[in-house]
Amino acid sequence: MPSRDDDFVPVSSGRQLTADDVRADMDAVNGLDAKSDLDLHLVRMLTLHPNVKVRFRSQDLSRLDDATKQALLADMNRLLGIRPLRSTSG
Amino acid sequence: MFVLPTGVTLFDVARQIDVDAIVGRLTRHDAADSIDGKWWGIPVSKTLREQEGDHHWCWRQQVGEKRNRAAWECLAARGPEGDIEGAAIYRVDARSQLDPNEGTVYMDRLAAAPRNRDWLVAPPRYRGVGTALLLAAVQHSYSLGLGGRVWLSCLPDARSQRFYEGKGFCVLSVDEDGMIDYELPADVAEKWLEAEGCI
Repeated sequence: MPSRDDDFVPVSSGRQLTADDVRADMDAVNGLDAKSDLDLHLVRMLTLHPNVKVRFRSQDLSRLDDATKQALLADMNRLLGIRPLRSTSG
Repeated sequence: MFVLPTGVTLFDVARQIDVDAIVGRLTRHDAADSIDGKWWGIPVSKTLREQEGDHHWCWRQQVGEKRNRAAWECLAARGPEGDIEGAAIYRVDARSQLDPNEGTVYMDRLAAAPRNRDWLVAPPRYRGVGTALLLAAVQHSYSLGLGGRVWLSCLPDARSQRFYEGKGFCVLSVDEDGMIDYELPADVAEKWLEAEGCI
């Protein structure tokens, strides 16, 4: 972490994005009561990548155990070319 | 998967050492108690305070509006004492301005605690807070398959601009108030994550 000299004036403020700037499909999952961070991550992944979602039909997360969810996530990561993060749990 | 909390390193300015800190989820309660009720309790003049772009932000309200919304994430960086040293709120459902068919994280707001700003407090308590939060957003973007892209709007400030451009952010636009929109491209984000040992 470059923490001595490589820092910046750390205040950034956003704009109100227009409808064209955001995806419409995330609205459908806003307000969803995810049971865990893993569930939330999977919901986001399945929404952000509908083409990948097609490969995993009938994924009712509430019916899956954590091991199955982790396997689902690993498959999605492989398909999307996402390497595991080392600084967290991968 | 980007898992919270995650360990980061801050630089303790007074002791001139790196210290372990964490980035975790920011709750409305923490925002009210540890940001809105504390951050501006520093000995600076009203004039100086009002020059800060975030002095009027109400983090409790912002977190309250975004919690339970899957498109949004609220993060806090906590130092070794447990105090919140910086916070960020971003959304994960924005469209990339550089790669129109791709998604990006959009940084809605990002701030270090005023005690960490060397133009307000001498010496500041920690350095690296903003960088740690920004890098967390890049990690989250990458783990969601958004390539590490982060789009943000930079308040007019030469140091901020040098930082972002030095990190490889591309200028998207400049508005009439001088606010600059930047986006971190996926290839640059991946190199940054590799350099930090994140992937």
